[in-house]
Amino acid sequence: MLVADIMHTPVITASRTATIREALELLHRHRIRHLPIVDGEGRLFGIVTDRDLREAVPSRLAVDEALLARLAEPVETIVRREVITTHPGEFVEEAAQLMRQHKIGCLPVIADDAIVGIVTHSDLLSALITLLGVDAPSTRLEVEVPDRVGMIADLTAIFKQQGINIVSLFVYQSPEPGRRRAAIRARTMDPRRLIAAIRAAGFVVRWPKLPDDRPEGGKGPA
Amino acid sequence: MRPSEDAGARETRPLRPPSPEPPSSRSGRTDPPGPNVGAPEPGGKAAPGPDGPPPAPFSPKPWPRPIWPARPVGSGGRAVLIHHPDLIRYRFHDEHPFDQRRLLLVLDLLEALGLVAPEERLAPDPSAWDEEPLLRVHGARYVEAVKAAGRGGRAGTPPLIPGTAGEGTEMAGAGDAAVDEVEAEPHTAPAPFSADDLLDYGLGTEDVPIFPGMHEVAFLTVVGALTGARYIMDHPGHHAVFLGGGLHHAFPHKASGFCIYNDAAVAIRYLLDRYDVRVLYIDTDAHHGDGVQAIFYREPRVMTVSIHETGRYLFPGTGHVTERGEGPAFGTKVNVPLEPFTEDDDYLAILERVLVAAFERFRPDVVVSQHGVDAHRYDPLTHLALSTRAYRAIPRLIHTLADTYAGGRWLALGGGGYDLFRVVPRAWTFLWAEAAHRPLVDAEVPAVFLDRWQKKAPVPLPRRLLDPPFPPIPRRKAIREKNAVVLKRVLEFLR
Ligand SMILES: [Zn+2]
Ligand SMILES: [Zn+2]
Repeated sequence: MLVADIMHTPVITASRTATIREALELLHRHRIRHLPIVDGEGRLFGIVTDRDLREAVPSRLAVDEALLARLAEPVETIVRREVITTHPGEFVEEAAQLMRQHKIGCLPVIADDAIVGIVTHSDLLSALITLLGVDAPSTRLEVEVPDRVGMIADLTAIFKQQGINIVSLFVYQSPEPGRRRAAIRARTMDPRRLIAAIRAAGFVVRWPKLPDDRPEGGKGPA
Repeated sequence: MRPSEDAGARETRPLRPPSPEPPSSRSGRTDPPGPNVGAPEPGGKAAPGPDGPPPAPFSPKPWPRPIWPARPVGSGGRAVLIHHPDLIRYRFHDEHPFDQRRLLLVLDLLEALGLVAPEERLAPDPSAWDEEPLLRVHGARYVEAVKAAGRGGRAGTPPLIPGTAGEGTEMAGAGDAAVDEVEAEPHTAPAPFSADDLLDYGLGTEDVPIFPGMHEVAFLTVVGALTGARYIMDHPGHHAVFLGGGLHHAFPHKASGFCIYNDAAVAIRYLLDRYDVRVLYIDTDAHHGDGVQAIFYREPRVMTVSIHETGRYLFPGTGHVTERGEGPAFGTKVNVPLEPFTEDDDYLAILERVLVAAFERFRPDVVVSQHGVDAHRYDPLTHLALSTRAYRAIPRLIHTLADTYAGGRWLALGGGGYDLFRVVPRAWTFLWAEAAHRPLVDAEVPAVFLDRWQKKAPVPLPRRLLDPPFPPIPRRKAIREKNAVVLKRVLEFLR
């Protein structure tokens, strides 16, 4: 999954000559927390956050001359110039690492010197849900396989032979050395024959259990 | 989409819109009977308290065959059992867990126990219904695909339960002529649907294989649920039970999880269109009621409450507490995902707290409940490990709440249940007995039932309706803690 797949576009930006008041209004109107500032050619000049703006314009009880003057100043007086950015072709996990390391809440996405999108925390969470979540009715199986070439091919061949569609698959470390775990969502409500076939092929199905494995050994009707 | 004008043109007077009155003042409606049913109840009898006067002593009557008159005779009963003999044609093949011939076992056990009076039987009549209510939920193209699949699919396979083939397994009408030629060419469907097209509609998959006449029997199932919906609206305070229904996984454009048409959703949509009522849908199947939830996800007049085994592993994977509806319906979709091996006590305690909160919050006009019985410990597909004690208590709870809050307008549907011999007949016997106001505490399974079915069953049949206590399952504390977190969250949402 790439940054291009999850980024927000188009991006709300402000020109570096915009006033602080205009920047505040943009944040408010679009309910956003990060505002990229661009120069005359549309290149990223810097970024301001809602926090920067709040600090620049302390809240006061009365609207006085000083406040009005502050609001009329150009936003470039408070802009952060050094901005961590990403690229549409970067992997989502790299973008997530960048945001975590630099403790930042958003990444402008830059291609050919122009800002083409923006990625925030909530985009990353959505991506996580898409990757791990359920988007089609399916049963989840967890299978332990030896960490060797071709094991996943052997495993998925069983699904094909059983005529059951795989809707998602990921493979991750097992606490046991030399093994991997495959979490597979299969489009069936009755995984019993599938589980039996996976076991017959020598893999360990960690879940679901078959009725015969249960404490009371309850058997189905057929 | 617009509510169906045609359906609205039928004779029954629509209900008044939902009102904020307390439940006690909402029960005594005296709407006239509809066109499809017998005489109205004698005056005054339609306005009892929560459960009315104690039911008259019931004298068992012999079970006539054929058993289902098209109209109830009189209306002495305060509940109807809706059934049609052709429903048992809803089955896929021998290896498939879903097989509506389980209804034969249920009816047989009810008969052996003398639990259904002749006037309580009601047969759905598919010729009396057009497809409009079906098309309010399912896409026209999808319905065409189901019809095409049923004309071109495989011919029938030998029966799972020996001795039940014969007079009921081949479809009459559509499909008859096609049977011979499709024997030779098993997997093809006539144009304009290729096998791949049908797969896109979920037809011809492992879960929903194609069989001859699948549209006709799936439509009959829908008509059964519609018949129940109309019955409870025409007979204030009466209940309807349709064990052939509750196929809650079907989506508007896709068959899923053994379900072709979503009869529960069609019945609910019909209630909305024709009567403009608020419907509380309660789903106690072991699997999440995903199809019904999805169909009404933005409909604020429908609250869905599904209590099910967590979808972390189990099909369909949805039904998380955070699925709460969208837009104007946010907060009207309730999900209670429970840990495997939750067992009776915790399950029932959680269900009661959630349902009371849901009724209090939503104040429904009508209750539609889905009574899948696949959360039983013997069920081969799931792991909640309930016993028939839960299946005695669930209908009792829903019945009491429906009578108290919704003027007794209660339609109970069937659902999943894959231990055909040991679980389904006993569990649904408790359901019907409750709805018919003849609740059972326990009973011996009559010898006549055992004699008939034991030789066909692969396992010893239980001797009593109530299961003996099962040995406790370890890890109880961890299971209880996780369920408590879920319950707390759900109750917060319902406040
Ligand atoms: Zn009642
Ligand atoms: Zn189920």
